[in-house]
Amino acid sequence: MNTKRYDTVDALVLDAAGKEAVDAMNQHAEETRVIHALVSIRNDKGRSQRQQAKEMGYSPSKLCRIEAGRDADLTLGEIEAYARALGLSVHLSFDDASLPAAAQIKRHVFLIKERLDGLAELAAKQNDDSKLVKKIHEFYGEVLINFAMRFGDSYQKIPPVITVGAEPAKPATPAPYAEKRLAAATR
Amino acid sequence: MVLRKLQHGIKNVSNNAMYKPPQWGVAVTDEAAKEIHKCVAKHPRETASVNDNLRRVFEQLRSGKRLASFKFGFFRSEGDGLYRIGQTGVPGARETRLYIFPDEASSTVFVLGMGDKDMQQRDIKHAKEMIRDIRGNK
Repeated sequence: MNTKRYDTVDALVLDAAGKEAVDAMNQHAEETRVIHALVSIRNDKGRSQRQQAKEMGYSPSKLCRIEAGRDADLTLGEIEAYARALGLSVHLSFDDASLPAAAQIKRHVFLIKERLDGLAELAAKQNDDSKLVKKIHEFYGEVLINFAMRFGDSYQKIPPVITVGAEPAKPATPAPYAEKRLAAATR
Repeated sequence: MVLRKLQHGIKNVSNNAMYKPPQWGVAVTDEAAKEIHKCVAKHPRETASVNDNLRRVFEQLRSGKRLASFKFGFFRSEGDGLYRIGQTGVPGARETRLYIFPDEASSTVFVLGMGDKDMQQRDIKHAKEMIRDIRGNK
């Protein structure tokens, strides 16, 4: 039995069936983005379809139909009911696609800072629960490491800047104090 | 002061922060690749859907999640390590199934076949034979 290995499903589909098949797959992902996000959260919380249906007051078959459907057929009421049953609140935000990527990134960074500030306020309110404060410290450390790793990973993908024919940089004029130390060191 | 506090946090960071999940790959048999090609031509919407769902399962594995924790409606165990991925988001669809063997030993999702409901029993039998071959070759 011959098998061929790929790093991604996209590469497999491209090879087996061509670019149109990959485009169709992405189109499907676009049309079911919200449903998939909700189902992923349900999955992460370890909840079965049956349990979710019970929490929502839906029949299992109704929930099955929703999860097997398209975003265009979802109602806002169903999204809210699904989210509420998972203990989530729904926030609507509108992304301006005409904004440059840098502006969109800044917006997300400000949102993350808001959330972190909320966590810091929670820590500040703790009187006796030093365990919780310790966990929040650890979480800040994790956030920093995870962000730094992902930042570095993304940064690696930027092509290097190559300058051709530039004048070599002139050495900076040392400050008077530094000059004295340099003179002393080289005596 | 800030740096010292952060250093404390980083020193005590949980193992999860540094955890690197296994690098899963996806492999396809020659036969399954031909079936995917045929299905794309005959049932493009259904195939797009099962391919996207395969990608979702694959991303879950890549992020370190275990198979036992998957509770997706389109993902079903057929026993003996074989799983079936169905389609979603395709109204009035002709039922299409993708058969996979996620092999934790080699961190590889083997795509073994694609078919419709009519050929289900034959496809499952054939896929399980392929799983025995894959396991037997280790």
